[in-house]
Amino acid sequence: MASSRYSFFALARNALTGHRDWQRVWRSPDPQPSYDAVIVGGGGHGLATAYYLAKEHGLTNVAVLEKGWLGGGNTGRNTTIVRSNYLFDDSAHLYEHALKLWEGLSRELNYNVMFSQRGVLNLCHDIHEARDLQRRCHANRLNGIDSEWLDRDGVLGFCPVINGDPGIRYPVYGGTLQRRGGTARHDAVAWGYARGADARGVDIIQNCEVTGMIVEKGRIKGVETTRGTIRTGKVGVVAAGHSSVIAAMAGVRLPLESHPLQALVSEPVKPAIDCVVMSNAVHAYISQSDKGELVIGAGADPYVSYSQRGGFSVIEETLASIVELFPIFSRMRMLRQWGGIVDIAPDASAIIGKTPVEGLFVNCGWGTGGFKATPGSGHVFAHTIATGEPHALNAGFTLERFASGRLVAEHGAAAVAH
Amino acid sequence: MFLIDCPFCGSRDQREFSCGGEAHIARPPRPASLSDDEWADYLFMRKNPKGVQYERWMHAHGCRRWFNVARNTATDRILAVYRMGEPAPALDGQAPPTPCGEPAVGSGNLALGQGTPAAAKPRVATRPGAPAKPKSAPKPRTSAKPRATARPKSKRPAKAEETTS
Ligand SMILES: Cc1cc2nc3c(=O)[nH]c(=O)nc-3n(C[C@H](O)[C@H](O)[C@H](O)COP(=O)(O)OP(=O)(O)OC[C@H]3O[C@@H](n4cnc5c(N)ncnc54)[C@H](O)[C@@H]3O)c2cc1C
Ligand SMILES: [Zn+2]
Repeated sequence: MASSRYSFFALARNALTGHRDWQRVWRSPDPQPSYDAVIVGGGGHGLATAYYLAKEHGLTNVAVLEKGWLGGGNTGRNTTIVRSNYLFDDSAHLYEHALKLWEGLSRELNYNVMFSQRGVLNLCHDIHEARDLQRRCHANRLNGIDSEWLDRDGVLGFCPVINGDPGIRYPVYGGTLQRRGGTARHDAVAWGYARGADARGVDIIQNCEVTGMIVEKGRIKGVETTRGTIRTGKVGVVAAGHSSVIAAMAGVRLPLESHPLQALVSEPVKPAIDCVVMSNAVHAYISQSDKGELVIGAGADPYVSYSQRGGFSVIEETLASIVELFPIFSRMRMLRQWGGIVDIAPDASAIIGKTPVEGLFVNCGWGTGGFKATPGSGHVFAHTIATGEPHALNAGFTLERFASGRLVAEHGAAAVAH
Repeated sequence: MFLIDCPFCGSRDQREFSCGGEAHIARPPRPASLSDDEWADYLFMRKNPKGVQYERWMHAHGCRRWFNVARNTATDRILAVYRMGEPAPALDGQAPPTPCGEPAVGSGNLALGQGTPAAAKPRVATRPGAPAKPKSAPKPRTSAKPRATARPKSKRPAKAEETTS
């Protein structure tokens, strides 16, 4: 069960045998009839939850059920921007918690998640937006989060490929920079957490769809799956776009709408842009992968859909913005385009906590921007499941906030899909 | 990306329309008597189904009039178009093969037309020729053949394995 450590020596040793003898990274067990806890959804958040349940709470009789393959949902479809410069205290603390975990994650997991703190630049295009960004910058600093205001020359100095022409429709006015932000390798995050959880005894079960919930007298008793019934007293639903579908199986209503969100990559080219650039106003965000592809994210389609593809008009709008901001990329050819289904809450913030069904917990509503939260989300959700109560960092992200009115209205910081 | 049959103007690209979300959510008749939970349910909770959704659309770049649509959110296929104020048409259909509407094994990252989940076929068409009726009963999940009435579909397999780098 315990996987061997990855190291330079392991690499050299395996090179001698032509890399044919690497151990499997995780087992592929059949589901047991019962577990202490079941996690529904094998994306980054679900796998991180299982990892921290085992590591921090000693809960190892746990299964992660994934209907497809690990990371095949939004974890494997996102543009991997990681930052923590959110406006409100609740979000700032949670995302900063995640960012701190990112900073040590490759070492923690003994798995290279390729976390690259290349800096995230948020642009603004007029004085009103500048005031908004400056306010966010100040709020970030008060929360101990690194954030710098750059004027137009500062922006162009930091990222020279941005169009500095004052004659364009939305000329660049300035921006904020979070140097500790950046990108990570999406699949590696899922695989690294899966490997770590598996090594601690968690059963990771792919091709296993949850098809029903067993609820008796208001308590969760188990789940029905395509691979049989599994009894358990604790279920954590971490299913992104499919959260409403699964919650409905237990009669729970969620304030979510699932929309397609698209992204695309270009042909690979030599390094041209060494940071992440985002603009809320023209709605574009871009970075360059280590392979050399430009990674470009679009906006969410305006209707509910589970089709994992969106409208071409959204791609057109996105590329129009990119080409105006980066004329240098105007002749790039795009290689691939895809969509993921994102679960958007009315206040654009996550829901991490209990439900009216005892023993049933949800971690959803991450919408267009939850990849960056993966380690922190798993960490606090594991606490919530293990203890039955929220961690201090997710206490503000309850489902009850929609009745109490204590929303975490992050549309300002999360206006752009990322 | 799909075409919407505006009851007033005819078939147009979806980008001409703006989506008003779930239909048939009635404003509470006595708002003052509602509890906080009831308000939350009215304001924020949504069915968000994977399957038939009844929703409102407005032809923003056309006649600027509102109407209702019944659409399968798993495939984006529109099943019925009907006017504001009309009740939701009953759509008789088999339940999807699984609650997520996908094959029992596999990720379910089906592209459009790659085995349409047998969600529902329309029984009521409130406008002549509005919803395209399949010729035969939809077969659950396996048929990859585009139907005669369907829009052209890519024959290529789902590109779901492709992710960013
Ligand atoms: C195009 C795009 C770009 C994005 N860009 C960014 C970005 O730059 N930065 C950022 O921070 N965030 C970004 N996001 C958002 C981010 O991807 C998500 O918030 C995050 O990955 C969600 O992780 P997750 O583990 O909760 O969900 P997922 O990775 O979607 O995992 C959920 C899993 O649940 C499984 N599942 C569903 N139903 C069932 C069932 N019935 N039984 C069993 N399993 C089931 C699914 O197959 C899936 O694997 C982007 C999203 C998209 C689509
Ligand atoms: Zn019209």
